[in-house]
Amino acid sequence: MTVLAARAVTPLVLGVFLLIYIGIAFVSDEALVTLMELIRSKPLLVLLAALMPANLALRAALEARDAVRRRTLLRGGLPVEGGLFDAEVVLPVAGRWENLPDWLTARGYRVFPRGEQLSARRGLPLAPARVLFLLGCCCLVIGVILSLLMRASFRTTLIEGEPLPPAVDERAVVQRLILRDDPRALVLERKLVIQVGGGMVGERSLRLYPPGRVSGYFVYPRYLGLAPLVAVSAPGLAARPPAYYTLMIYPPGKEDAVELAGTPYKIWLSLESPTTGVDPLVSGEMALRFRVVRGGDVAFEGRLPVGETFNRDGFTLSIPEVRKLVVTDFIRDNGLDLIWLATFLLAGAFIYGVPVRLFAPRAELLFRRELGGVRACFRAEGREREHAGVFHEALDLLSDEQRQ
Amino acid sequence: MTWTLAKVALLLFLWSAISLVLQRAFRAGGRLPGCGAAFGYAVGGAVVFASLGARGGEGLYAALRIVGAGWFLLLALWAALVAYRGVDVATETTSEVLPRRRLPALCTALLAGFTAGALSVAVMGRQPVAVVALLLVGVAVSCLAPVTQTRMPASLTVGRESLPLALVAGLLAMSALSPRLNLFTPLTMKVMKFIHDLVHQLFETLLVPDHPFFRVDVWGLIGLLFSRDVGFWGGLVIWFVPVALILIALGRSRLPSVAHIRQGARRRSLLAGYVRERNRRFLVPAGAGIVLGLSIYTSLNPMVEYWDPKPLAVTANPQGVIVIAKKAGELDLEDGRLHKFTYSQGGTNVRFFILMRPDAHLTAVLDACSICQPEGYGQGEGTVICYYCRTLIPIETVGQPGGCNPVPFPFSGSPEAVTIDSRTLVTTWENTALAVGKGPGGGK
Repeated sequence: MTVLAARAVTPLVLGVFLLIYIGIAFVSDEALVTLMELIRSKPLLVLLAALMPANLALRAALEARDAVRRRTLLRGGLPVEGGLFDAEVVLPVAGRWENLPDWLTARGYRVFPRGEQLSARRGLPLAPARVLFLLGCCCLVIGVILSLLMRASFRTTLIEGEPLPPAVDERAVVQRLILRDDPRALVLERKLVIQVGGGMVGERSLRLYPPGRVSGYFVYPRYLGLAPLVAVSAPGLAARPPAYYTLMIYPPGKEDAVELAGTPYKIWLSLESPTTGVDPLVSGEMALRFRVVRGGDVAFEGRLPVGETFNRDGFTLSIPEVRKLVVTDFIRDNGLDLIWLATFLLAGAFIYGVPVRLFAPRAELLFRRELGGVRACFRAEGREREHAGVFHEALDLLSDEQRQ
Repeated sequence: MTWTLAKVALLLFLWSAISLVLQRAFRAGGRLPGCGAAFGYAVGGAVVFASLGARGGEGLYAALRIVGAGWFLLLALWAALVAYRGVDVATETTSEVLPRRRLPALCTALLAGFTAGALSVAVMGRQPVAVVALLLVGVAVSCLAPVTQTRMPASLTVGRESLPLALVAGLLAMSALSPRLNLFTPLTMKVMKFIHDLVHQLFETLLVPDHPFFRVDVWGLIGLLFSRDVGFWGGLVIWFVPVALILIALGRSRLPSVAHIRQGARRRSLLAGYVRERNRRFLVPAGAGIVLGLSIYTSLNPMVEYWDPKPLAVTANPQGVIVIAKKAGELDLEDGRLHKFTYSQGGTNVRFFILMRPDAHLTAVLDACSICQPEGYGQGEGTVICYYCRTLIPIETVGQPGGCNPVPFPFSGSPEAVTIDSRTLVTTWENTALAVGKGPGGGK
């Protein structure tokens, strides 16, 4: 247990993985991906990685225990133990400290005389920040390991009016994809909301971030696109009903093709850039630029607003309707919640710990009468030399008082 | 000639610094460290010179790079150990610890000398006169080190914690004088790739939305993590980690306890003495830091002239074929030097070059790779260099796809000319060199 709680365990394990990464980097351009695959495939590496959260959790427990013991000791509840203070000295003096409390108070210490003991402290303890930090790191490592080992995902296209994938809930339907701009946002100025309804999911609005969850899957929208309803007729072409085609033609300017199977026609479509400056998926006002290719040559090209029809030389193209779509990953990941929790814990440790360490580090002094004299201890979490100087002068003062 | 003299001067300067550090660290060993270092220097230089004459290929330089990387890794481990265990300034000085142990002094001196000699000759390459002069003067310098170091102030201490740092810093600075041995540039590329992959994996793991949803300025900030500069700054941090760890270990070294002394003046005097000794121990790591900084400077500004001719404009015939005569006037495609050309079609300007490799195969490649910004290539000794990422590509591998190699394209050759299909050339250029830069930060 002592070995597992040693401070060197986590850095050593990280060092081993770093060495493995360096070795892989010499022979492969995809070193990180290779390392991740290696960890997934080797139980020994997983066990090695698991040493880290065990070590961090143990150290957090030990730090909390030591903090509580020190607090109890400073209140006079425990005998002085080794390892809790930076230094201990036993002075062969009788232990009169009439002037010492005022002297310490004048130097900014809060003094607590308790019978045979005098303790003094100033500043705030770092222990809460250290415990938060260790627990945050523990959650982070566990989250990463779980994510590496147990993440499962599949990719599908969500189209307005179409059902969710069967693995999620095929009775639920994507009712609407709402895209809107939020210029006042700090990070994400474009928001996407996926409105679903029906089935076991019920009426839900799944937001972009934090991602929504459906049937245990995180919903991770990736790429926007359009599904235009394309109606085509041409001389010599058999009548064909209008059909939806999924096209990745977002952002405006990106091209994708509609292949009319069994015909010499291929229609290249792209979304026209808006003249108003408002994104067409936000405003809903869309016009498509098209290029009809017949047998390798461009037959027609032009601009076609949604709802209108193009007609030339017997060739008719119309797009009565366009539905929005988003290529989405559905991800099952048991480690993600822990990683987010770790973010909060580490942020808390940073927000509390850094100002305390810089501006008000804890310093503690303890003087306790014992049979041989006075046992004096001190501990400092920052500005050690300044605090050690106060400690030495306090000892001088105690000795001087004896002589008087 | 100027570059040669400058390299010789720098190599000798660095070697004398290494010799002095060795001699000062092991001064209780008398002449042993100096003679050991001199012997090692001569042997290392001779071995590499013989190998260069016999083979002279990329294998030798690759082996030396691996040795250099190994030294740096060991140094990093040593610095981590020092930082973890701390330094006891009061009791730890190398000369006090090792007076009875001459074998470590001799082994260290031999190893350092061998590596330094090997690196020095590898940096100079196949220049017999310069190499012989370098080895002779280098041996003399290390033989004189026992005498020279007595002229140094006695207060200049080389602690056990700083000796490996000083040696490895000197060796890395030596290797930085040759682009083929330079470790800093490959380190920056690997760091850039690591940060790129890490950020990408982090975004995937945390389900962070794609860039169209971000504010442009925020995505621009994220894009900095994908730029070339992040590799430079990350490499810089890693490069100086051993120095930082040892400086931190020295700064945090525990002063001896003076709690048993009741006279304040005596306490302060004792502490001041220890603080002075600790401050003296900062000098060697600080000096090593300066030497490492010098190595970065020479990495980024190599003392090499790259052959980079002005591209010749070529056109296609009515069939869309570009024909380039192998020999025409001063142009000789088979002279072993790269020859650059440009071809324009529509609004697209394609740059490519043709090169005769050492294996007598002609190769035609784009003046760009598939992962960097297309800033082009220059030719050095045995290599071509990508101007964007400073990666050295052995000439033997030009024409092979992948990594930072220039992108090959199909061509055909006859005894008189090289013929290239212009459509294929333009398509290849548009699909590779122009496709770079779609990600944030632009390119690699």
